[in-house]
Amino acid sequence: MTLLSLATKSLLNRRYTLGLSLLAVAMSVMMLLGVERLQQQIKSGFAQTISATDLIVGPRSSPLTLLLSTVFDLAEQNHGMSWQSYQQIKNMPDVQWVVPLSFGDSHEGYRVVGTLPSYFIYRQFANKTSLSFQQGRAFTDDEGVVLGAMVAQKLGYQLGDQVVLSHGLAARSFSQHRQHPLKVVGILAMTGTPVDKRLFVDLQAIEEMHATAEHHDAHQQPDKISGLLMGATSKFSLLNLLRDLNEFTPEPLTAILPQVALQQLWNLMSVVEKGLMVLSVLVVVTGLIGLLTNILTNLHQRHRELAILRALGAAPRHIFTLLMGEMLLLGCLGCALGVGLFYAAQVVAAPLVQQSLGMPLMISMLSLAEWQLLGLLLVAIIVVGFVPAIRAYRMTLHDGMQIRS
Amino acid sequence: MPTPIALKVEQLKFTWPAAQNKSTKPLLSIDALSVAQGGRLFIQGASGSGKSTLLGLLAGIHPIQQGDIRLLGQSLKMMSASARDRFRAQHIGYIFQQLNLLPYLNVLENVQIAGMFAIHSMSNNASLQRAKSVLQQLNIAESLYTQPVSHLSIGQQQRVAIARALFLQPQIIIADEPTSALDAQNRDDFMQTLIASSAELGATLVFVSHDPSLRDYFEQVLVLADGDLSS
Repeated sequence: MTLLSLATKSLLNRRYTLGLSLLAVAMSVMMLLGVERLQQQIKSGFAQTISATDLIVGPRSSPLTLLLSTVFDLAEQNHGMSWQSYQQIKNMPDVQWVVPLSFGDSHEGYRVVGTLPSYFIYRQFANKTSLSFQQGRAFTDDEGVVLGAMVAQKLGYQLGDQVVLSHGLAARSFSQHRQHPLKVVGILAMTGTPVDKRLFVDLQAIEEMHATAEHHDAHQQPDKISGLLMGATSKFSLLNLLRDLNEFTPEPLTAILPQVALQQLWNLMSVVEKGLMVLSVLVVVTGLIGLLTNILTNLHQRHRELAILRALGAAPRHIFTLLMGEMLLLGCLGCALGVGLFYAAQVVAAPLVQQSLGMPLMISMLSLAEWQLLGLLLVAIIVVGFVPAIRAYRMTLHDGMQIRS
Repeated sequence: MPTPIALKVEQLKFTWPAAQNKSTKPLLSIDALSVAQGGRLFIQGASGSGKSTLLGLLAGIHPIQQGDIRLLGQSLKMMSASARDRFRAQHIGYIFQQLNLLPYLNVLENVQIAGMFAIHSMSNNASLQRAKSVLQQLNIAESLYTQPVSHLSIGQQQRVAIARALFLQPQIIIADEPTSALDAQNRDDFMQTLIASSAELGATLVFVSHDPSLRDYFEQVLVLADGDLSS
């Protein structure tokens, strides 16, 4: 028999009370790893959201609002920009392409975007990856609708199905465009961006749905759009273009560089993320204090056990080693259990994150940073382990084989 | 050739460090004591008479302050703390009052653990065979070997404690009030078993009790009162 197996058996003997303290440690490990991973995932998710778009233009608002409303579907803009401005911008020099976006309708809580077929060419993500169709094609007229991958998956739509859009963004809208059902003509491949949670229709379809019966004109121009994505002919003209658009005279507009705005958004998020990190460190400390309390309380009840070991020839350093070994075992067990919980939590959380943020939560191996966190935690547990080990060492040195009850 | 001396105490005085400045009279003071190898010493003393301290000194837990104790010819005073720990592991079998056994080990493991801190480690198989043979010698049924010790009666538990003390075939067995929790029948059984097995081993038995009725089992009887040993 070795000290390690003795420690294991002694721990197993106290499994019920220790189990609870261990669970607290494991949950704190889970939280620590979870916050770390969420941070990494959201950071890379943000950066991957939009690519190859040089500028986003919309009605005058904060850059962040514009980004959130046009890219993330997380904000709403009450006023739009005029169709005339769109036409004017389209004809500006240095502008290579412009795709208009019109929001305001929804389907079962998913946002509907009124746009042009060119959206599917220019709206790129990750590292300049174009949207691709897993089924069907882009809409060619105002009768068709293209579904994001998640919309099709969650609502179980197939090509050819009829879809009725609702006015407004509420999931349960009473005002539905029943007189104007649309047919599913295409379903996009999964992107891991908010595109997956959108439905796309022709800009004109939106107008037609909103046109009242009195002046039912099949080919009227929309008078307002919500924003537009734009590509410039060259990177050098970008800053001029940005300035010109922000000083656009016919109406006040806001133009942003998406990567810069994404960085701002990330900076905003990182405050929250840092707060969460501090919180989870505190949870870890609480868990360790709980474990320490448990071990110290037990130590008093183990007076006899230690005295027996002393009588059998154990030196105080053996007692010290035994206690440290126990703590190390507990630490490893707590970390392993925490990692298990961490992955279990990811399996549960992945669909929820995908649903709410449109970002995929990749369930992957532990990263270097996560291993480092675990290592740091183990060191912390060992440091904490010195407290009962030194106590037991002193106890056996002073009391010898006397058993105090 | 005279029988070798297993235990020899010379001019031993002991005072707890905390009390060193306050009282002039030491807690324990023994001028001379000698037990031959294979001999049996009964130390009688009420609680507070310093017997726990004497046992701690004999077992090498406490350092010698003044005088000396020689075990098997070796001076405890000359040994370091860890050398005393190793000496205890190898040469002394120790039996406590009661609850001698570790609750989370089974009967066999409780016996085998005696080899854990010894200088020469045994192979697992040798250790197992040895444990089984001592348990058999002490009439512990084989069906109990893998049972948790809590399933054993107090009498059985104390016999397992003897088995553990005998495991490494020590030259000295120290028993600290091992019968105090036993009834009369179990006590007599225990005493006979202890004395028979230590005699078989040729081990020296040091037995501490407050119960004078056990005196008859021993060749040498020493009464410890107020820290002074008198014959």
